[in-house]
Amino acid sequence: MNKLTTLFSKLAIFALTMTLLNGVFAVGHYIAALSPKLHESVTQFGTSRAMHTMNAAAWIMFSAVAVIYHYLTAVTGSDLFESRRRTVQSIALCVSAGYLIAANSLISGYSTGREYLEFYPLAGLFILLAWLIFGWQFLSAVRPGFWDRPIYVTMWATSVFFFAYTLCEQYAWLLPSVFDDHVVDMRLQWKACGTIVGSLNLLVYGTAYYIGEKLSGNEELAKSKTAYALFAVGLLNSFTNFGHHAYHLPQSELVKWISFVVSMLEAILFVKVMFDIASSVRLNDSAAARLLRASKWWSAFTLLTAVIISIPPINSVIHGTHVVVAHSMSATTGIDSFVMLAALFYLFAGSAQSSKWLNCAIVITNIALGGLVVVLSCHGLEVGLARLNGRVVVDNVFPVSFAVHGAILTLSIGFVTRALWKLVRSSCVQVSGEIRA
Amino acid sequence: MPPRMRAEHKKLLMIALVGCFFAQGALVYTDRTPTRPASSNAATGKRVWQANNCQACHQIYGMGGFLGPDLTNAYSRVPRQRIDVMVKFGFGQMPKFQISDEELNSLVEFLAYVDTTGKGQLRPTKKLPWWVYGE
Repeated sequence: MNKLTTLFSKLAIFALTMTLLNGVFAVGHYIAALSPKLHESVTQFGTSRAMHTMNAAAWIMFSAVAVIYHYLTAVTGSDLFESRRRTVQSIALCVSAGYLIAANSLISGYSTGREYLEFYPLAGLFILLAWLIFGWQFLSAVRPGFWDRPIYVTMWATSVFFFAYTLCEQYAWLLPSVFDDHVVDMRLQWKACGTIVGSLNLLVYGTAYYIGEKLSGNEELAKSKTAYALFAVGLLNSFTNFGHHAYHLPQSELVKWISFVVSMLEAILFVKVMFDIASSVRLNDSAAARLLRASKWWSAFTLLTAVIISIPPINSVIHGTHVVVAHSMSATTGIDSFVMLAALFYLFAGSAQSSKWLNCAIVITNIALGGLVVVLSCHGLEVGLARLNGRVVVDNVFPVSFAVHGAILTLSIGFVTRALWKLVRSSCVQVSGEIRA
Repeated sequence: MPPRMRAEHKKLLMIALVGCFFAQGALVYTDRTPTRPASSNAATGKRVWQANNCQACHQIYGMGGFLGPDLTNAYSRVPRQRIDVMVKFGFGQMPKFQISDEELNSLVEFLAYVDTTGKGQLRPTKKLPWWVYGE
């Protein structure tokens, strides 16, 4: 295994571990009796939440970069760690600086108070620099014959520009004309937050196609018209459907209508994903295949619920409730994390059959995630309907239920991550035998 | 075998998508829906809001955390005295904040300004069917 894939895989697993840890701290704050103790001894809710989201994004990006370097090594036929040493060192320096500044600023209590980017803005600059250098390296390598390459190269390339643009857009609040007009600030913030998530999704979808191609041995799917049609609909959704989060925000009705119509187009994706699920039963029983199959079911569920909650009357009920958290968790865990875990398992273990304990952990992860989504959705619906009646919900069961499901999910994903860590640490590719957790 | 996408068509598709992206961006950047900027004291209050990471638990127009309620129209629903007490002494999982009276005043002025910009959540304007209330 090439050194860059191994390095970024280790960084990804570290980020995933930090995501899980901070998720536990954050959910602990939901329990009224526990919150003050956590506040004094461990961390504030704001810090835990910010560290949780930052590391979740870092996990997705690091793991995607690991996969992309695996592809680039195959494409260029050279070890990029050695042949592009200065480029790699620049990326490593910027990534380290960005992550350390961000983490330090959050842990020390500093906050910009901006969603996703609570850390010190200088960290954002280093993250952008690292991304641009990596993007330049990637695009230089794939430039020859770019338009003849599979869909995942197009998705990754689009993500390079998309993420850079939306990261800059996220800092528009630094302009006085934007900061002083809060409605304009909200319009830009919702747009930037929605589309930056879209750029991360492109990394994940590209990885799903890449690993799916390797697992199935079918290279034609990633070059087909269907793949590009789905890419087009998915990308359109990425940068337009932020509007369904902001139907109440004073803004152009055209933006809201575009958001609604394009959101409904996701139904097309839903149908296609269901067909993909049916065909994927032919895949083997490796950890990678199991996780990829699970991610397809979560894709179908997340797309279906996204279409439903984008319908304005329903959106008005669940707006600002934990139904949004449920959707976010099913997407980030059920789709993004499962795909990236599948990718890393494939890179380091190939099609080797996984042990019964690992299979068990994957099943428990799915059940725990399902339980978490149900708990969050029910509570959100309860709050939304009560709000229509002018009532406030006092629910003592939800915080405990949320914490319990979150803890089970953390443990099961932790078990899966531990199995992956052992593989990455040994940096060997198993083509036969069993993966032991 | 599924039909392949030709290189020329891929280029056209990307041009179209890039065009849509910038068109969407232009729609948002040039939105003429009336707004008004905050006063200087309200802008100071926004800085207090951000510095104390209020959006970690609360939302404005749906943007933020969900541990606490949406505060877009809190100014017109919650008495001023209650806001002062909750910020200074905490309430439930909400910690107390060490902010000065001037900062608190500017924060409240920021909430008052946001309250005038629009409605952050759906509130019933007429009686809804019995099955919505569940009673």
